[in-house]
Amino acid sequence: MKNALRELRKARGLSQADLAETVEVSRQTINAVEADKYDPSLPMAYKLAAFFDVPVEELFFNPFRDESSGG
Amino acid sequence: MFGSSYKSRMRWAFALALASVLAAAIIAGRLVRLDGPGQNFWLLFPASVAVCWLALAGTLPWWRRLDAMQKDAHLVSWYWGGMAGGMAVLMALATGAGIRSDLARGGGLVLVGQGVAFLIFFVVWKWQRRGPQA
Repeated sequence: MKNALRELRKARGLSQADLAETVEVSRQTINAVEADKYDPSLPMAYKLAAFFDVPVEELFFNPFRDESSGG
Repeated sequence: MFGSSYKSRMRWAFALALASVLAAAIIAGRLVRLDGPGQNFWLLFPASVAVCWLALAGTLPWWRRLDAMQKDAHLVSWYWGGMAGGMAVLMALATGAGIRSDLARGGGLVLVGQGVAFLIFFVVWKWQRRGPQA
């Protein structure tokens, strides 16, 4: 799932390890999510969104939004 | 003692899991050698199973601390890797030692045990996720 995690993390001046420690996941998980190699669970997505204080869809781009609303 | 950071807590949980499994291997290994094959079966069998299950319980803190991706990695690897490896060894035993050999039968029984336990866990897992009827 495309996302803005890397940009938001860098804007805060955090390393992947820093962010991983803060949200209590592994650094590899942060890396995989940023690289669009793993879709996070809902709790993880909400946790990350809460940490950056943004709505979830600002962090993880909804690939179905345009498709359904354009209908 | 357990540290305050996530990384440190994971390390302690992993160390506990590893120690539990090693301890179980040593204790269960001694238990099954306490008597001759088949002797005191109904004492040594449940005792050694209990030791193994205690080792599993010792891995719980580690399992609970894993994030969703790490759990996925283990589940996928155990299912596909575990099944593929088990099947390869079973076929090697059946073709190498003979399909009616003790080795092949033992391997088959392990597979049966895994299958039955899988079904039990599968049913319980699904049952726990039942919602109210709409």
